[in-house]
Amino acid sequence: MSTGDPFSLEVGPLPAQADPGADLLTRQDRAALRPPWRQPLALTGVAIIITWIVIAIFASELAPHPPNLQFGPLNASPSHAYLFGTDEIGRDVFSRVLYGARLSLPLAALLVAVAMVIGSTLGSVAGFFGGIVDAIIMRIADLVFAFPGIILALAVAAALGAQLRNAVLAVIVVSWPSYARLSRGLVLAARSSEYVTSAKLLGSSAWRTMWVELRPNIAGPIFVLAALDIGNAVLLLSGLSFLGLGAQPPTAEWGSMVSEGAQNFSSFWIGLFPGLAILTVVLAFNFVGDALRDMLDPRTARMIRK
Amino acid sequence: MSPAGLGRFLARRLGIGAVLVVGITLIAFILTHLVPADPATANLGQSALGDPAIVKAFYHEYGLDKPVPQQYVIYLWKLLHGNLGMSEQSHRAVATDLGQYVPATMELALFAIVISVIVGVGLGVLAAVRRGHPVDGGLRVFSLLGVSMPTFWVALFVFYLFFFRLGWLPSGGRLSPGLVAPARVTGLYTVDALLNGQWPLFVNALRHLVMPGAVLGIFTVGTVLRFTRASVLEVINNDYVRAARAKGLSEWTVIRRHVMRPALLPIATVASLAFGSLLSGTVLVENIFSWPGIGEYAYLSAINLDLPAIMGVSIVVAIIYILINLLVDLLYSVLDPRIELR
Repeated sequence: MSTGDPFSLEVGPLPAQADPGADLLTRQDRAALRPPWRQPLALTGVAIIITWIVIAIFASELAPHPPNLQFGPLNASPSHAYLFGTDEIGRDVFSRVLYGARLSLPLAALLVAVAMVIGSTLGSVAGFFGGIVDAIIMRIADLVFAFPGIILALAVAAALGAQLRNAVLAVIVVSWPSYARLSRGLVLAARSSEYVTSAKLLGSSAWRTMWVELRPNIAGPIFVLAALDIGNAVLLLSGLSFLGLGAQPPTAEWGSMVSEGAQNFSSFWIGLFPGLAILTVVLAFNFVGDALRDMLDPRTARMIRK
Repeated sequence: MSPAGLGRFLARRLGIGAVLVVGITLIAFILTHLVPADPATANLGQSALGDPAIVKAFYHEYGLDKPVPQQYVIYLWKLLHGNLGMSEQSHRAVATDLGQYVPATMELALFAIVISVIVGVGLGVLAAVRRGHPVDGGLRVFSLLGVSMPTFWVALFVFYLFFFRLGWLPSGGRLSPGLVAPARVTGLYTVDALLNGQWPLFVNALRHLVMPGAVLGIFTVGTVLRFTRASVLEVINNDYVRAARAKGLSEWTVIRRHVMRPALLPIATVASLAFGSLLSGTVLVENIFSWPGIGEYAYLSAINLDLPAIMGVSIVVAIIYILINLLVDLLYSVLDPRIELR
């Protein structure tokens, strides 16, 4: 994502170095080469994600109160009765945080999926056909890249009107180019392989070749990029809501809840807990994505082959 | 590299850059003009909106009554002469606004990048040297935490702690109210205050810079840390490093003289790339700390649908991006003479 996903797969292939020999594999290298389901950080991440998914599904059963019911004392500090306290109009912060999972998680997953489909389709087409199509698509992608993500998203969200739906659209607009670049590179590498040539010789059309032959072969790295991207999507989306360009009150959305907390500093709990919710979700996805990237990193892969 | 080769390289890259900037203006223009939003509604009051003559005058004033392609050509023509149009919210030239806000953001971003490079490279080398040690694992979690924290939330927390609770640092802005900005040389208050020898003013500006700068840097510290660790590990197993150790150099000298030099290249890259992402982070940080920079300006322009201002910000930020990328490539050839500029 152009907002500066620091760990995106495209940031710098480091300059080629001497291969570390297999005998140099230390205990830690082997630990890093373990599949993600045997790494403690990745496992922690998966556990947190599953917890949040369960919360999102059963929010109405788990939350002690409806998210927008104004019933309690105003600005009550966290206590046994109100785990995360109440906000300035007497709503239960704990319930609102639980309900917030129903927005942030599915929307982030949805927008990453849409950006992935759009980006990888355009990128594959660019890589497969080359020439003028390639030039046009990739120059547009470059342009969006040169645009700082949040400023573009701000402009889109503000122009379309401050709504959660438009914030999602805005984030999609800034996210698709990284998928286009990655899939174009993968298609370019696979295009001249023998299975593609034989498919062509068998009379398979360009689109059929892309769908049947190329898609399964380039899907892996693209899914990893998507996994890495979900955390960023959650951050960007909640950031837009924080600025008032996404979810509107009284919607229980984490970013806008933090912004409500910002107006009342003596009741720090109003903003603290929704922020912690964002942090745990993003951290969990980054734990998983980090392990996945280690697995796909060419240098690590080279070590595996030895 | 020969001076002629360098000239060709610069000419080519700047040419591509110019094309990219024109492309950015096109995208920004389409985006801001083909959307179902009316700048008149965002800028005029209720009573003025009721008067068709005023609305018409507003449209005429900002050239909004002409066909869109013609508006674009007019815009490009003015841009060529350094005229970015008038801001609809501040009623000043966008170029004047940007001249005031860009240095503020540069000061903030530079402070953040210096902090995150110092901390990130230091901790990254530590993680690489102590690879597999619990220290390394801890730093891994630390760097992932850094990129996972919502900037606005951290900013509020820091604000709460150091301003609201402890009262150690000022709440926002670039200087305390009542202080006069130092005579402008660079536009960075801290630097200008030092150049003018105004020590108390420098301290005041620095105290205002610490909170937003540090918050902005948190995100990049993690990134720089990870890349430093990776690039040091690439180098540290090489034979010449073993040779340096074998001839009895201290570990610190080995790291400094034989490991850091080749490891600097990727670190320089990631630091410059991080600088770009910092510019994005400034929107949220400036909003919270009332820092009068382009991030806050972009935000205000967006919610007020101030089209000339949005275009101006986009162009300036795109130019900064392009220049940074150019700088990185030049830096490459300085750090590693084997790399040829093309």
